[in-house]
Amino acid sequence: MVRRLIRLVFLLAMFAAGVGAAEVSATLDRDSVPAGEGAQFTIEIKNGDARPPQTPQIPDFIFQGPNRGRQMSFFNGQASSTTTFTYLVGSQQPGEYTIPAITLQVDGQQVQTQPLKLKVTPSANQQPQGLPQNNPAAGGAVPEDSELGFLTVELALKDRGHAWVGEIAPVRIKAWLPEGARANLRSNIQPEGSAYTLHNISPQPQQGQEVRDGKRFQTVTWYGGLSTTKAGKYPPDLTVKATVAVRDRTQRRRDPRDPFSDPFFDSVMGQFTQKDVDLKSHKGPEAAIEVRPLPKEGRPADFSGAVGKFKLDQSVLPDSWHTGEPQQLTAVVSGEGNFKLLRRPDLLPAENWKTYEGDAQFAAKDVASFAGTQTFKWNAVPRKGGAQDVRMSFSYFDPDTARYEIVSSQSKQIAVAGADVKDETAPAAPDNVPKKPVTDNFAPQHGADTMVRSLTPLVFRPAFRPALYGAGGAVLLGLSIGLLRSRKTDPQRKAREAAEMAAHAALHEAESFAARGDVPGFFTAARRALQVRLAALWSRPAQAITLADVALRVPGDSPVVRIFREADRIEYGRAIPSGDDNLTDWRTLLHDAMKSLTA
Amino acid sequence: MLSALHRLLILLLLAGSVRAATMEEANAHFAAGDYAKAAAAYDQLVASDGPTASGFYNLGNTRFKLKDYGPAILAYERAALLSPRDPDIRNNLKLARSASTAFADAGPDTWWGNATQWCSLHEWSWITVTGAGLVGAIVLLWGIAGLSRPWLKRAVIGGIIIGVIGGSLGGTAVWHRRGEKDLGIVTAATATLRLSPFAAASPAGTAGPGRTVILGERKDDWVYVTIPCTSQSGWLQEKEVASIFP
Repeated sequence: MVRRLIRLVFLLAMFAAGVGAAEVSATLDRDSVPAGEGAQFTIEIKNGDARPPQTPQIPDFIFQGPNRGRQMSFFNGQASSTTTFTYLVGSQQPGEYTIPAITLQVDGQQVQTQPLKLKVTPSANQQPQGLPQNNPAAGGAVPEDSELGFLTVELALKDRGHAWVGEIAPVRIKAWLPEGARANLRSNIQPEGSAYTLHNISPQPQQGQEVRDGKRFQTVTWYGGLSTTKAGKYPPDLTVKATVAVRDRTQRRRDPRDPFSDPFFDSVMGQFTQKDVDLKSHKGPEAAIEVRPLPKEGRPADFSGAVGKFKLDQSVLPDSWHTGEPQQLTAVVSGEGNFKLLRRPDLLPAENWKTYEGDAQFAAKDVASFAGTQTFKWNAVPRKGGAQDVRMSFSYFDPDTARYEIVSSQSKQIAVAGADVKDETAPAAPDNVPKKPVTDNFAPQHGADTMVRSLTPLVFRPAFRPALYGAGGAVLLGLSIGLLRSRKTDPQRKAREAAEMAAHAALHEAESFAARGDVPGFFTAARRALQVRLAALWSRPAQAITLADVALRVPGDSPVVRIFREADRIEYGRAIPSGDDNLTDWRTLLHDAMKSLTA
Repeated sequence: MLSALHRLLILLLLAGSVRAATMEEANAHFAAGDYAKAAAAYDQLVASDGPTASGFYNLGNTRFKLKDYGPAILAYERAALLSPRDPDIRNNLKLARSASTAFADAGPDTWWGNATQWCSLHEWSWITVTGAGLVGAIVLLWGIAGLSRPWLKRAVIGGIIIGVIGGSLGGTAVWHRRGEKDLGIVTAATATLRLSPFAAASPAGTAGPGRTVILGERKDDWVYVTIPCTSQSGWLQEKEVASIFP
């Protein structure tokens, strides 16, 4: 026991001796966080211990925690310890926040963390700006014919009381269902009539429970944008088809012998009545909103229908350029309104540039995509060389001031190298300068053209492929016939065939002589057959081929040489071979010789 | 028999005079500035007499004057199919594109791409078929009759070379422009591309009048279109777009 205590004291002493000086650091796990979400803020104390520090008071900034952690390690005789305090930090309000230096007492000494910055960005899940506070009591009484539910529509129209054509207004749509009801939607939420269009309905509706007019309801809330395409006065009523199942409250006679007649089983077994209903909002004509047409006065030439409030956050232009060379431009526009009708800024002066379609990416700042940032990227090519003052510009209609606004970036001087590009095509992007009438060079009407043609080109007609196949077939057929014909009239081929026939005739004659036992006749015919075959191979006259030629070009033990030699011996030496057996061998030899020459 | 022939001749003459009168009448409406009547007359003329370059061109001019730039560009494109080197058609088509503030469609950016535009697709098709037919006929003739005389040999070889060059050029141009079959023009003044083929679907952008689009799948009254040289695509109602090749 004493030994163990001594060991423990020794270890602690070793540990105390090995621990180094205390170090404190603070870290954030990310630089920016959406509003309503948290980032992890960690204070780490190495080689020391401390109590949780006092968190600083920052307006609208929340510290949640801390969670304390401690870790000790002993490595290569060096002991170390780490104490961490972890917080969840964030804010509901977008902005840039600074977490100041935090002072800690570490082993009696005061140590400070370094200050850190956290950017809280607008959250894409937050409700759009301008909507009234969620107040069920303010919504009025429950409509009479709405036992199975109804819709309410709340618009953000500020205090204007009217809207503009094309203006998109954030809207909160709430479905009120009886408590305990189950509902399935059978359609999208649709505006009643054709005056309104509903955009960007939030895909994940919020569910809750609210009391209205003294009754408890289940609620499902969507956010979106409502816009109109025509002027007039229209109530912003919406409808959605749903199947609602509510608990059947009719009293049923309970049979005491029935084991399932206890009310407990009503909730378990599901005594529900199901009905298909149209959930509607009940604003009616008295709540109609006046929709005004956009004024024609002061409408910029490049106005594309964007209604809202927008500003040009960023415009990226190169410092130098070359005529004919495409470069990518970037413009970042933020604000709120109908971003879908916002066209990318024009590059001015327009006649000096050829611009191309580009890409636009929208980052929503609320759940209805009403507010956000649109980043445009597109290519442009300078047509004109020299130093040029370039700017970006776009226009929109401000529904609050009822005026068109033109937003321009600051002019930037760009050095464009190279000669002017001659391009007859009109500038792609319209300038703010009034357009020159395009009908200046309008070509006149033509007289009657009697030539009636089909608009469908031959290539798309059924006859095209058969015509091509026919031509291909004619080529193949012609080639085949031509080849056959040329083969027939080929003199070499004819000579080969004649030689072959002569060889066969001689061979046949030799066979006849052999059958009759005429030895000199056999050898004469056999030699002639071989001469004809050799003449075809060596391209020489058959009669000119002698034993001397054959002995020179063919091996001495070859049956060809032997037959030639025997034929000469019989013809010139008057020698007569004895017996039929020998001739039988010679016949076999002759066939072998002919075969060897064929090969 | 003779009287029947007379009747037929009279009918043909009458038909000819009616057609000429209609064109004159339409041109008179145009000259008088009554573009709506002129457009109706040209429409009727094209429908009754068949497609002609002048009919489509004059119709395009009338639509242009009515500021219906989508239908005007469609009519000019169809006129250009029938008469591809007509400078008036090219000029007014360019003006219509400019007036509709639609981007000028990015044409081919290579010399050979430009060369394929010199003839219409119909003309290239004929060049292809004629070249192939010439080679086929000559080879077949050679196969059957043979070539014994030197001058005939030279003529046949020359004919084959011409046929092969023509067929190859035409075939290459036709192959290069085969995608034009699916081209269409946005005729509606405001056409909204939608993510799905129904009116309540989310919009995916807008296609300006006269914009050239590539027509794809069709579903009910909707057609899926892609705008060339952009990343824009979506569903348009069939009435908002028309194929250049009807």
